[in-house]
Amino acid sequence: MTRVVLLVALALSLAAPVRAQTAEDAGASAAERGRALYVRVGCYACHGYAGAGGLSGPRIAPDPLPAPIIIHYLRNPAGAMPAYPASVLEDAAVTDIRAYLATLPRPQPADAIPLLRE
Amino acid sequence: MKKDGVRLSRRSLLSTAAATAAAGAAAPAMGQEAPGQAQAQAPPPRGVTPPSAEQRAAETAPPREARVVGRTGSDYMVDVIKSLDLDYITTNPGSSFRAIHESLINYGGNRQPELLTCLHEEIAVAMCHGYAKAAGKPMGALLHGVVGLTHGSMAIYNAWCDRTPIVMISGNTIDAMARHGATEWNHSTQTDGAIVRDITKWSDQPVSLRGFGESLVRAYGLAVTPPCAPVLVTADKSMQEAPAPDGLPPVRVTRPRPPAADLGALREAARLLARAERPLIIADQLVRDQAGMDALVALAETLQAPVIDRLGRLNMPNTHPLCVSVLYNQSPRATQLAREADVILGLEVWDMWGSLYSEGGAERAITAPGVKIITISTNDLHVTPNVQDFQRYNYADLAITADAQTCLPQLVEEVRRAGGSASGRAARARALAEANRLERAASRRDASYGWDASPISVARLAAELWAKVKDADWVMASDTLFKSRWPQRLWRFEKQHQYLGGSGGQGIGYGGPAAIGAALAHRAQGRLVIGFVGDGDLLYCPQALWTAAHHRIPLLMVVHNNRAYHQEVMHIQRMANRHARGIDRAHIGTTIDNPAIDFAKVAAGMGVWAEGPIADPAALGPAIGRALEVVRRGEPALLDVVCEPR
Ligand code: HEC
Repeated sequence: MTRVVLLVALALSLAAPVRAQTAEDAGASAAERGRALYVRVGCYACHGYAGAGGLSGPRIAPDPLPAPIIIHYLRNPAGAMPAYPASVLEDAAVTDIRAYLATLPRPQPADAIPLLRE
Repeated sequence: MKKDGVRLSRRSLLSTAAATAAAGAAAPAMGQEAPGQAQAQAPPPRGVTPPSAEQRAAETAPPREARVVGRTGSDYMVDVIKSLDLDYITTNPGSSFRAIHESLINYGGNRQPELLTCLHEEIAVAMCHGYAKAAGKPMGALLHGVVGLTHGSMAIYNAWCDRTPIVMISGNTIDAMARHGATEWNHSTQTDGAIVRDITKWSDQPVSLRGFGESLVRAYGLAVTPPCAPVLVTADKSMQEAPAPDGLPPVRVTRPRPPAADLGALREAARLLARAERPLIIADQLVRDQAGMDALVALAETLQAPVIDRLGRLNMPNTHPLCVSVLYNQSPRATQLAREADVILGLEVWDMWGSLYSEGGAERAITAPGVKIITISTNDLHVTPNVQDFQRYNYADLAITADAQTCLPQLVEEVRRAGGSASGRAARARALAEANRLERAASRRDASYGWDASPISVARLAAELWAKVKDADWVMASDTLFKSRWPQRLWRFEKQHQYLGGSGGQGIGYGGPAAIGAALAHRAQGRLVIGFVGDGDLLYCPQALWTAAHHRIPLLMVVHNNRAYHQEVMHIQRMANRHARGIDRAHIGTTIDNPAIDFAKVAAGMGVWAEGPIADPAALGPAIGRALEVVRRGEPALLDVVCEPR
């Protein structure tokens, strides 16, 4: 009996969406929570930790798209991006991720970086 | 007494008998102990397993076989090996070729070829792979029967896919009655070649020394004739160790010319290209020397046609206005050019289909209806029934089976003769040059994002390296695909030897040893060779670094350390998203962290100067400077850089 309950609880916890806020990070800002989420749910894997993109995904920071657009895109991606339905990543978590992306610094123009001058 | 169909001469029989007698005289009488035996009786040091009675008997009893003085079968084999003009032969030692090993170092003087010690057969073969592409000629590998060959097989597969020649020799005890002990049975086959038959161009197991001579020179010729590939000749252990009969004829290796196209087919191709309004060239495993690159540039300039360089080799200078870069097989600009083209010429394109059809989802041709497809390649000469590296079937209007580099000068000639509209070409040239300029500017702008971030952006790492190597005669010896092609996007690749392409088969473990092999090939010219390897890749055989230290092979090994098998992180993330039952566990089984591997310590343990982990982008430039001082002294150096995944 206890085993069945445990298994059900485990199944539920596996199926639960990733939430923006958990007990541990109650005091954290949206951007701090977003930074952790960005890594935890794998956005970094294709877009890079700094959101600068590369071989596996486009640049998504700084100046991220508005939250509703990102949410819509995650639910219905167009091309090679895997979908993040609401059942696995709630809207509030996406908003936090966006908050993190918005904190990433805008780069200097390439010509202002000596190593990038032609 | 007949052996190899050749009568053993009186002289060699006599010398064998004399040696046996001398050995008997030198041996201590029964009951007496030789100095070595006294040691064997003493208690062994702690942690050392004492030899068994059987082992002791085997080591101390008078030799079962007669001592052979004078010329052995393996000496003759070394003569044959020397006729191939190999500079080096790699090995991880194995008893099945112990006589060849000994002949190489004593009879052969350890020169032409010099024996290189490798700590795994995958390293021994992958070094040959990198070397051959860099040197434009093969080197050899000696592989132990069954186990060594199987260890090396992954690297053989990469070389197979990458059309790279390697001359491999394995040891085997063909006659079952000649096998000593259980292990030798385990390390013997009916035929070694069967183990790697699908991934070698040819293999043979000759049963006479004359046969060995012929097989090895035949194998060499096959290996170096496009499509190039690894070959294997098995040397019977008994034959290696027995006296060589007199009168074995010397062998001479034939160096065949590559297969070329018939003139009619080239004229037809030239006519189609010259009349095209928007011709497009795609090149992949095409160019193998500077003349090949020059010929491709001449073809592109004559037609003023863009060249999509898929970077199976460095085909086109990336600064050339007609060069179109792609990350893998497509890019928005390359796709646009393919869409607009009326004639497309594929030159040794391994996966032509991948350049012409949209990826993923619906299978759609990118190209316009009525486009004429021409291919020149040796692809159809490189097919075996089992492995599927031949890729999707692709229709071509004119498919020319020939070595494309060999055909290029003639094709240029024919295109010039066929004429065409000069004004159309000039307009095309202007547009392409402008697009190329914009592409390079966009690369510099893209590189500025995340410039000061940690983990360090791969663009930043590439830019920091470039600043330090650009004035040297440098070589980027590693695949740059998983580095998002940042070297190609920021560096000026203008000479053929500056890039070697990738592993071919995408079997990881190639990066480290192949870069070391390339560094060996460039050592004499004093070129600065850079290995730019993934952490997961290098971890397949980090002990390749020891070989670089031991043989003083200078190179800068930069570890693009993303602490993961990152390609797999993305695959698992995709699966997790698709199955929608938990999306935050893709790191399980894919990341290489907790503990993070300290590559500087690993390298130092192998005798290689190293620094890292470097996670602060500001620390990178000075560290590269220090590493290059070591490399300039003629030694390898390693930098462990904690990087963005791609
Ligand atoms: C497995 C790789 C992968 C993962 C994981 C991934 N993405 Fe993407 N993403 C892509 C690719 C590829 C595209 C480009 C889509 C296309 O093909 O057009 C993209 C596109 C986007 C875009 C649209 C960018 C634009 O300007 O058009 C946004 C926003 C985005 N991703 C956000 C995210 C976020 C947030 C996450 C994590 C919750 C994430 N992605 C996870 C691969 C990935």
